[in-house]
Formats: sequence, structure tokens, C-alpha cells
Amino acid sequence: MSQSQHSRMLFDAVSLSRDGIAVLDDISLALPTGKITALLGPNGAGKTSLLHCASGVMIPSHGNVLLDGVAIESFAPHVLAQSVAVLPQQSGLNFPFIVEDVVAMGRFPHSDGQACDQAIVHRLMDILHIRDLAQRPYTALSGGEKQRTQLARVLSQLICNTQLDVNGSSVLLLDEPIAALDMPHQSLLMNLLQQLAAKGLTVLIVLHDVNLAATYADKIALLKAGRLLAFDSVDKVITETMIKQVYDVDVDIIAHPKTAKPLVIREV
Amino acid sequence: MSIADNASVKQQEPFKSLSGSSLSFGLAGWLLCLLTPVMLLLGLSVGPVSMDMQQLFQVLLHLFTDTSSLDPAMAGLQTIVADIRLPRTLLAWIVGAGLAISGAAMQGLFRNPLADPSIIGVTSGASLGASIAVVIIGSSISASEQWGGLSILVLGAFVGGLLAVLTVYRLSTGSSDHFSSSSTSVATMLLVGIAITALAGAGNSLLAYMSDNETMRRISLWNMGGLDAASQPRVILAACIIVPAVFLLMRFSRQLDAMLLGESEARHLGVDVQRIKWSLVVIVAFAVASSVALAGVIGFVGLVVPHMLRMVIGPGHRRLLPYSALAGGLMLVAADIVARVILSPAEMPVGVITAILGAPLFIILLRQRRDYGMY
Repeated sequence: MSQSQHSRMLFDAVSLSRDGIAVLDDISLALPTGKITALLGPNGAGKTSLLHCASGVMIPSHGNVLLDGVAIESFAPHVLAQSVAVLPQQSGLNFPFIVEDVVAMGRFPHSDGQACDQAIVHRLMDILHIRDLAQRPYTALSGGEKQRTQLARVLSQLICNTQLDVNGSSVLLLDEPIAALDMPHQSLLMNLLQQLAAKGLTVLIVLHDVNLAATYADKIALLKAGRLLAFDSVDKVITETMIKQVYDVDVDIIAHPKTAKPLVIREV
Repeated sequence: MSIADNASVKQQEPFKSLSGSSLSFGLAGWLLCLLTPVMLLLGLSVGPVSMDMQQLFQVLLHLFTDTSSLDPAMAGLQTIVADIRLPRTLLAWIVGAGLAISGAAMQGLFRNPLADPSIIGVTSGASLGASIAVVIIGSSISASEQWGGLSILVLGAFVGGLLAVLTVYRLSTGSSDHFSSSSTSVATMLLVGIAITALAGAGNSLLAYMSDNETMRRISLWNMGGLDAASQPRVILAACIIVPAVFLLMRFSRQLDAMLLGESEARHLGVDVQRIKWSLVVIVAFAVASSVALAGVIGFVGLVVPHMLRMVIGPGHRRLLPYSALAGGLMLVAADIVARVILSPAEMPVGVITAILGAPLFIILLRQRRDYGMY
């Protein structure tokens, strides 16, 4: 199996228009396998729409999203679900399932046996610090606890065992997963994603925190008004001119004292 | 291995392999299983002609044998049980089970614990269809109790119910360009369902207004729901349509669980959302249309039973669906016993009983909804 550099998910000249307005305009990019790609851009840039195209919920007006060379919409849902997991921006669950049952739903696309499923579910609940909440109704949780429950659910969909091994063709799409999380859990999640990426998971993550993206992502895609302005390594994308161009704010960029990664600070 | 290879290797649908088959019975389940035969026996023994349990068992033992071997008194009881009470109790049981599990399925599909099988317009459509059939058959009441008359009624209810559902479904399915597979908006479905229900209700009223007294009485009795017309052919029809529908619906437990997460979440979990919607709506339409055809319009069973069960056993459909069927059957048999006893020797329409019992119960549930941590 040819690992690494070969890209599993490919956006090929993807355009999407809605009621005559272009939401995405000719976007081509290849998600590097086993890497974290952060999708940045101002509100309304088309980040969520791009994620919808990647998950097959929306079909591009032009162009294609390909998974291993096959158009994403031609997969049967239950086949696609074995390789692609999606965390939407908001969750509409308002039935009092207990936390453990919500996480276990991530195992629906697989039939690896109850013992295996349960072990994966428990492992992820341990990692995301929701094991104590296992028997609590989801509806009674705080925003951050709900988010961690949903994260555990989505991750359990792509993990094959308690060693956190992932199927090499798995793609994880996350839409602003850290918004409701406190600082330690933000780091926890990003570290976990790095760990999974090292095992072959391809991650596309929408973020608003540029510094978080700069610290943890391998590549950054900058989106503005439906157009892809840049898609490159962190050092090349996080520059004063680029940030000015995308967000229209003046910033200073310094090197992180420990990691030497770019650190964006707002000008006063 | 690439995902394309994966597709050919994992041919079996994981959703099918696990759903429904393994029923885990908790305390509530055992209680329901225990109460069901008790209630059924009670349904057979209670009535204007009373009999004790010993007589009942004797009658049941000889149910399918020649009555000539019995003494005349027992033969009389035998006739009452075999021709009147048994069909009636069985019909109540099957219809109640069908309505309750349909309600549970619709509440799951619409992600709304206040949904009801009638929400997709099927009840009112079926009732209009049945009214039209009543008008066509005319006032020859006896005709409707024969197979021929009965099948026209059932056919009318069926066609009416399915037409209503198809209209609702058609109107709420948008041909959106961007979303893969034309998607059906459940919110629109709900609103169109209300409109179709109103329209069919108007048609029903119009028919009642224009017909003679006897037909009008039949139509309005129909809309109150009643099991007094239960007969062997009706039970056989119910067993052929509603019972398979109940078992089919139980197979959708995992998909319905996933649907509660949200439609796109369910899709990302591998649920063919559009197909599930379509299948559920069709199965529920068949179950509810035939229950309306056989027993008239019986409200609140489909609404209250799954709702109450959810408070006891949680929202998971693997238990909720079979438990709803059991509890729904139980509730309607009980309601029918009350309907028979309360004005004895006259009867109340069972739909009135379920509404009298169901409405206050429902209001209590509504008031407690915050403690329950929902909506």
C-alpha cells in the first residue's frame, strides 16, 4: 500500500453556486494523506460549503470531489461512512440518549463485534475525559461536554482498535470543533489529531484561531469569498501580507519562543 | 486497501445485520410481556354476559372444535367468545400495537417527540377514503360486514391514506440543485401534513353534511373509532397488513437512532436517509391506513404510548419500538374493555375513551417536559 504522499481526497476545480451566487469558485486542492490541513478564512468564505462538498452532502455545480479517484457522490452512504467521518458545526440532538450511547453510534457503519466496539468507545471516552459522564443524558451536558461527546462519536467512526489505529484511507472532516472547548481541551484535541494523523488519518479542520492552526496544522488552506488564496505549509501561508489580504486586519508575526512557529499578534 | 476495494469486500449492510434481532428485555419489557396475556384474557371475559376464568379456559380449549359436544350454556359462551370477543380483542391488540409503533417511528423520523402517525396526513386521508366508501356502499349496512363490503371500505381507506401520504411526500420533497439526492424536508412535511389533514377533514364534513342521517351517523361513528364491528375477516386483514408492518418497523431501530442525531449526521453515519424516510412513511401509511379502515380513527395511542415509554426506558429505538408495540396493544385492549363496560349494555366509541384518557395524560407529560430534559 503506497502510504503518505499520495492524496486520498482531491478537490478538482470545485465550484458551487447557490441561487446564482458563487459560494465556491474553482477550488482545486489535494489533501495530503496523514496530515492535518487547516481551513482558514473569514465568516462566509465558504469553509462549511467546502466541507459539505467533501462529505458528499452538497454536489458541486462544477468539478468533482474525488476519494481515491472516485467521485464522492457515487459511494453508497454506508460505504462512505466507513472511511469519512464528519463533525458538523452544530448538533441537533435533543433526545436524552446517555453519553455512551451517543459515542457508540459512531460504530454504526462497522460490524466488528460488540466487544471491539465497546472497547473503542470506552477508550475514546477516557481520552476525551467524558468517561465519568458515560451514563448521563446528553441533553443535560454543558456545551463543551456535548462537543467532546460528539468528537468521541466521530472519532470512533474511524478508529479500528484501542491502539487508535486508523484505516489508511480515512478522512476526518471537522467544522469548528474547538469553539466550545476550554484551553486544555483544545490542546488535548489538537494533540490527539496529530497522533491520529501520524497513523495515517487525513484531517481537514475548519478553525478560526490562526495561532492554533499555525501550531498544530501541517498545511493551511486560506479561503476568501469562495476562492482559494493559498494552500501551503504554515510558514509560507501565515505572513503579515497574507493575513492582511484575507482578514483585512493588521498583525505582527513573531516566532514562537519554543517551537519557532509563526505566532500572530494583533496590532494595537 | 483503498476504499473502492473496501466497497466490494464489505458488501453486507451493517445496519441490517444488527438491527432489531437482539431484543434486550429490561424490567419494563417483562412487565409488558406479563400484562399482555392477562389483559387479553380480561378482554375475552368481560362483557354483558360475564364468565369466570374457568369457563373461559374451557371455552378456549374448545375454540376450534365442534360445539355440539358442549352443553347449551357453554355453547352460547363459546359463540360469544369466538364470534364477538376474540375478534374484537385481537383487533384491538393488533391495531393498538400498529398505531403505537407507527407513532414511535414517526417521532423518530421527525425528531419530534410530539409527532403522531397522523402527522403525515394518513389518518385523515384514510378516513376520507372510508367515508367515500361508506357513501358508495350506501346505507346497506349489512353489506359492509361481508367480505365484499369490507374490502371496499378497506380499499377506500387505503387509497385515501396512501394518496394523502403521497401528496404530503411529493409536496415536501424539493428538487434542490446542490443537495445530493432530492431531499425531503421534515419540517415542510409536517406543515403540508397539517394542510392535507385540514383538507381531508373538510371533505369528510362535506360528505357527512350531504348524506342522509344513517350514512352521516356511520361516518361520524367512524371518526370516533370503534371496535364493535370487529369480525374474523377484519382480524385476518389486520394480521396480514399491520402485523408485518410492526415487524418491519422494528428493523429500523439503528437508523432511527442515527436520525435523532440529525439528518446529515445520520447520513455521515452511513444511513441512506432518503430511502429510510421513504420506507418508514410507506410502512406507517399501510399500518395506519388499515387500522383506520378496520377500526376507525383512534387517537392518542400513537402519540402517548411511545412518549411515556421514552421517559421510562430512554430514547433508544431498539427497545422503544418493540415496547411501544406491546404497550400500544395493551392500552387499546384496556380502553376497549372500558368502552364496553362503562355504559353496559350500550357501548362508547373506543376513540372517545383513548382521547379522554390520553389527553390529560399528554398534558401532564407536557408540563413535565423540562424535568425530562427535552426540547
